[in-house]
Amino acid sequence: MFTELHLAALVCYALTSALVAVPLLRLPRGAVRGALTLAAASAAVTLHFAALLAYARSTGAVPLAGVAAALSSFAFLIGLLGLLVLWLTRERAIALVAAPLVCLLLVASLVTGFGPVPPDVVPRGAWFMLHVGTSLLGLALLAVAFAASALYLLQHRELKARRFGAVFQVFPPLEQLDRLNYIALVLGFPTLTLGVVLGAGYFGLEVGVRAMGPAHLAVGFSAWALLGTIAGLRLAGRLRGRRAALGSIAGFVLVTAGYITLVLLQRVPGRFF
Amino acid sequence: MALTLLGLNHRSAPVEVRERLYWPVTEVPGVLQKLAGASGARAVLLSTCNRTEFYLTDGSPQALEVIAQQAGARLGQALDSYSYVLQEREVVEHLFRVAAGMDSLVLGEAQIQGQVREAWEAARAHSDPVLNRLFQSALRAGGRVRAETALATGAASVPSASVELAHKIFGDLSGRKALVLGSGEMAELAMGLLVSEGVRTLMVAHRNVERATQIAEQLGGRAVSYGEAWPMFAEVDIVMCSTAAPHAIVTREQVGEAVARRAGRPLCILDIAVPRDVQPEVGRLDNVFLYDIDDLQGVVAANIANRRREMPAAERIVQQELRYFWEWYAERGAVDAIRELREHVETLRAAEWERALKRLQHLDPADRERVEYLTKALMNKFLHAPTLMLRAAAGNGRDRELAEAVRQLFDLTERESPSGEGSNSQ
Repeated sequence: MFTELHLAALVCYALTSALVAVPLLRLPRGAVRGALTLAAASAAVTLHFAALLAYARSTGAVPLAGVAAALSSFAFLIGLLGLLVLWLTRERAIALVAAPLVCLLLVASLVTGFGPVPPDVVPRGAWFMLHVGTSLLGLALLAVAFAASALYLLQHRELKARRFGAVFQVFPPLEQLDRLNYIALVLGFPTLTLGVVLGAGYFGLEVGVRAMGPAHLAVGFSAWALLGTIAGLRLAGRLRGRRAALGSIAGFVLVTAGYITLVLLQRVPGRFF
Repeated sequence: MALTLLGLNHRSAPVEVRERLYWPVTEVPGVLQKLAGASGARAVLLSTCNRTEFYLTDGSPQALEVIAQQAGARLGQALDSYSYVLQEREVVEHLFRVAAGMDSLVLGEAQIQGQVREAWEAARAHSDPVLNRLFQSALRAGGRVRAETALATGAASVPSASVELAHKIFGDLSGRKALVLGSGEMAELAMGLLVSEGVRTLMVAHRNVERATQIAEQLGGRAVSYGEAWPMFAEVDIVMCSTAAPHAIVTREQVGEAVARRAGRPLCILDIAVPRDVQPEVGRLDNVFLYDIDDLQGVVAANIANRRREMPAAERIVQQELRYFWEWYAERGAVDAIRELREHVETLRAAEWERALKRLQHLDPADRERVEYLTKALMNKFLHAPTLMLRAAAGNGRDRELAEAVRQLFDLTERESPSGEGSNSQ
């Protein structure tokens, strides 16, 4: 059941991307399509939530343990935050980056498969759930900062090049994107920090520090340090605009790519965090 | 009796003709009063800088002649070569397109919707239910086109393109600071729009201090010399340039240092001057967005092209609203014809009954009542099928010709106009 719901959510996310892409493809657009995008995104997030709920009911586990469930939860958080931005700002363009990213994560989650989680591999204590949940939320906020930054760089390029095509018309103003990047980064960093602290607590109190893999140590702390630098510079007003956008993109890409690579290198089946 | 339009617009007449036939809205009631006095026609006059159009429910030759005479007298020559006459469905479609901005010189311009409303309101004393419904429907069609399509989105003039560009960089413009270099009609218009969006003018720099003071009073801010303006590039968000200098006065050397102190904040420079006031190298500075007159015209051209792409969607809305109006209008025509027919036959029946009654004095009142009932029942039987046919014709668009046939067959042509009755009754 939860696989079907995931597929339905995937279709809705894809539809959201397509609806936002319509003006970029130079097809006629209108206010109706704005409402349609919001409706499609709302449907996608609702179905996704239902899918996660169905997973939790059928397995009796919070969907944070295991690669597929964690990827799906991560995708859900990005979708939810994207929907929030869409609803608050009425700027649809954010979905142009966020929705395909969610689709990608959902496809990865479905391909991996929602098999039963071996209890000996992934303990389900409160520390663990809090660590994974908070870390995923922090990463999702960074994904929003990434989406805003990607749009910023595209709009910046068009404005500098004096091109007044679809990107110029459809994308939000530069300052709005910069503000979104700022908020997501400044909220994302403390959340991720909390995730790291909870992770340390989990390993220290429940598993033992020796069980902490090199991936966790290397990526967790280097990501934290990198993002801390970027967030600190932003808070101090020394980083903004294009450079801040580049920093956010680099931070998000490095954190996610590095994390996934190192975890996969551990080659522990069914383990994600 | 037909909806008729007599008018001219930017496509059919040059500006020297249009400006002579422009009636300010305050003069419209007088014009329509004269028309009603001379021909009895009910009308609405829509007069803007791009069109003068009379909408009539009775497009009789007499009414059209009166309009042609009034316009001809104002123009000093015959109106025929510049004007067009539309009838019935074409009138409705035309007005809906006008209200939606689809017939405007600048496609999708928003002002026309207000002008259509103003024209209708100015003519309320001289319009009738059909014209009222026509204009209400036109305003609804215009509103829907603007709400449901992007026909009216994006700047369509250089001053509004300046605002659009500033919006794309800063989003909300309230509280943003501007510096004005030089003067010029276009720049002042653009600055006026920016100020209306909440932009604050900090300084106005001009070669002529008196002129600078004059502009500063108009837009707010302080008049300064050019030398004092360069350090302001570190502080302001928008710079509007429109000097008459024969070469670039804003160079990278002059403002580069000030721009470097901006700490990544974007600076929008709008150079409307020809020749350009700002050296192109300034636009290559980090976070500086420099636009000249060609760029602003490029924004306008791109927006107009986008608006053109919205035309099919706008056309669909116009056709839908046209269908709604026409259903009402057609049914109304059938109802009028049915009423005329019934009144005519009732008059005949009553007259015949009066005559017959003189020869039926021997009948008692109850029998007389029975006979009268019989005449009424027969009349209703005879009229039942034509009534049904006329109602059905209203549904398939053949009501007008059928109603005309009924009027001719039953000799109803000399009777009073039903639309006139309708207009009085409502």
